[in-house]
Amino acid sequence: MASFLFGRIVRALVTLWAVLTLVFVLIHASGDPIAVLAPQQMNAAERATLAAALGLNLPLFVQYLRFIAGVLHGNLGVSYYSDTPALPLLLARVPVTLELVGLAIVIAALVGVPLGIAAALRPGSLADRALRGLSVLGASVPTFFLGIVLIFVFSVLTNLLPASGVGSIAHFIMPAFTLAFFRIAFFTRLVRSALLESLAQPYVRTARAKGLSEAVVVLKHALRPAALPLVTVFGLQFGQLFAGTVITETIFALPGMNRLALEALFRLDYPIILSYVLVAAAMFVAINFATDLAYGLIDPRVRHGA
Amino acid sequence: MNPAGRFAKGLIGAFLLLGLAAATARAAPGDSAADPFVVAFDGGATTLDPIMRSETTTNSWQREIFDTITMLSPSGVPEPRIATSWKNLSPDQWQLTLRQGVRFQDGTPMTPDDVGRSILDARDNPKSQYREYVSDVSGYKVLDEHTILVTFAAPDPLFPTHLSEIPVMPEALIAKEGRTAFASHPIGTGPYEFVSWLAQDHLVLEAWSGFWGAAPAFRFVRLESVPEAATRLAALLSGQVQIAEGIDPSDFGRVRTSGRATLSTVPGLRTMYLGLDVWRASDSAGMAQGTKNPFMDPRVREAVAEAINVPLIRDKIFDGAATVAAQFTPPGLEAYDPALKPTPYDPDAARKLLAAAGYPHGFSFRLDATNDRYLDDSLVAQAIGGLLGEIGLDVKVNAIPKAIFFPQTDKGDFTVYFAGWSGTDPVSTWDAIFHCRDPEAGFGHVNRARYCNPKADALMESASRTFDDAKRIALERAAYAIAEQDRAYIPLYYQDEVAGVAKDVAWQPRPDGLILVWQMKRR
Repeated sequence: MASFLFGRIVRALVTLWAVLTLVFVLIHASGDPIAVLAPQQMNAAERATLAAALGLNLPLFVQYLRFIAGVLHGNLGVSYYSDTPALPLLLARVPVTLELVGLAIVIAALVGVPLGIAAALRPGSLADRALRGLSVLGASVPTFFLGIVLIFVFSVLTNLLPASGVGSIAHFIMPAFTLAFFRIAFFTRLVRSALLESLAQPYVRTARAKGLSEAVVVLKHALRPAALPLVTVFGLQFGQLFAGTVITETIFALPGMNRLALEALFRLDYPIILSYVLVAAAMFVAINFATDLAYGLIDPRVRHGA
Repeated sequence: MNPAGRFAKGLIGAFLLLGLAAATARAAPGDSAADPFVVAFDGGATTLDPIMRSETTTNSWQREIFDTITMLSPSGVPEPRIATSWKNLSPDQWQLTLRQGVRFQDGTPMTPDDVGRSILDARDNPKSQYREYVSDVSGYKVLDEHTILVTFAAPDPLFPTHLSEIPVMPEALIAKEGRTAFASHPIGTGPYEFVSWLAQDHLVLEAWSGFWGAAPAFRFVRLESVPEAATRLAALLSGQVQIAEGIDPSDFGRVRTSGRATLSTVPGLRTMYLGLDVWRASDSAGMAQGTKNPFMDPRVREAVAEAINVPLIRDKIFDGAATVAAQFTPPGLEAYDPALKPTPYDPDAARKLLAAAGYPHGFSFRLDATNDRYLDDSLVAQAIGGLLGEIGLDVKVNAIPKAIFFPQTDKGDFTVYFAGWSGTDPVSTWDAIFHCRDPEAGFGHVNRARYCNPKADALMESASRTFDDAKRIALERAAYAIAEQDRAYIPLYYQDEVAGVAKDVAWQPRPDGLILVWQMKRR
């Protein structure tokens, strides 16, 4: 077990190193940060001074070695723009993204799962077909469009919700719903098909024959086996959402980490971009690990290694 | 009831509750910390260290907390701020009289050394973006507790203008705590004190009771980055923010008819122009190899200027929010000559000029532009390409990100490029973009087109040593008049500064684009 864990950790570290190196090379090939950072008025000598102060005058290989040495010391460099260490700057943005993603997942599950159950109970009914139509809509409406429509309705027309920023749970309602919308449809489809499959199983017939109420049959006996694929997808969605909040964060002006990374990318603020890659990669590893654990909790067969 | 119905009901209930809370909490913005006066910016300040970054949004946020030594009026004249008056004693000496009774927000009195060392900091810090304004300063001497004498290695007649860029910092505190600690909780002499912030996202401020000047109209202030134009508009129209910058021209009508906000516009200091390769006789980078460079011929440059219908661009792309340029210098800089008139749009004359220059059937070239730097930059580049097509030129519009565009054009990899320039004064603008290129001497580092007219350079060099305002301005105008005649560049328009302003706020945007809450009043 220990050697298995050790192997996993080594592999994760090698992956991380490869990703960081790749991103390092790619961003250095994508333009000159001094050209964006320095005001046009700045002359060549002043630019050279600035480049030297940021260490950008060194040969690329030396810059790379310094970067790797910094990473090993937990130091990802100083943001060219904010003149403060990049990693804390990024970490300050993580909670907002976490809250947003967490809330979106909860909304998607709270709405999507019951809808999926409802659809599975009466397959082919009008409600089922309406829900299927809705899920096509959910899968095809672009995030930015839905976000702007929501802002127009709930901020401009009715003035019920703030259009931008953070500060209260009200600020998160529209962004989280925007982010959840696509996933609601997704969860609905998933629960519907999984539940339909398990409802056809013999043990469900047995449960009904025992005279159990329909609610117990569906929720206890049929839903639990159907939950397994759901958890896998849940984990995958969590990871996808983390990297996928950039449009939502931008539209609703939420100070999340994806927006910061995007802005840093436009400015070629290398230390922030590299910090982002590191944090995002670490999160993916953590999510995958948590998914594995959850699997074991739900399915005894996984837990006992059957 | 099915779960969906229950959820919908819960959602509606939550909305009603929120609406009620919003309705009861409505007070005049700025009166309480819970309901501050909010400005929505297109981006956020990256640092609160006031010499690290010369960029409009960053400066706007910083200059609520910090005072600059002087301040420019809307017409570009330096006015008193921390310095109440200034006198030029000799070509290499300026004497500054400082305001009395000024304190920093931590309670310590501002000393003449704070002012002097702030100037030296801006000059010496390797990451300072304000070096060019004070690079001629050699040192300073404290004469008495409210007078300092600044000495120069080379004369700078525009020093009072340059001081409008230099913030006064608590130098003793910075020496003790270090710049990083200072930047995380900045302390200045300005109208607002720092409360909290999240870098590149928002800054919370409160009016400071110890400020030397008039107390600002709004006590609690929040400056926010709202990167999406549609969201800024929505926040303005719903009353969530009081000022929204960067309103999209296509939304002007909606603001005007909203009844909740107005549009406020002023011609800005940014000149949008075309730069043309005027140094390679052939093999210009944006043309087919082995072809002659037509732009060496002044008639071709003239034809391009006449073929671009700038009023059309102003009306169709900017809904009027741009000012047609008659010269490179925008109004608000002293070299601006009100007597000059814009080049009239005349495609027939342009075609004749092209024919006379030997190109009756036109020619092909690449037009480089940014697509992420200026308002609607790639759209304007497309329009220019279309208009030049009307006189028979075959233009390949190449709109690219600024991080690629600037290094590429700096290297000379272009034939014609479209970009913007905003300078603080006519002399440094000339030295950067018009002066014959001489990197060793620090001249012409943005002169990508390699324009060179030694006669005009000589005029500007003597202007840069002339302390008499009227004489200096005459020399500057003479130099720029030559450059306009030579068609060194083709100035197109000045970008207007446009902001959406809530009905109950009285404020005019500034030509330099700074948005300063302490200059706003209640209506």
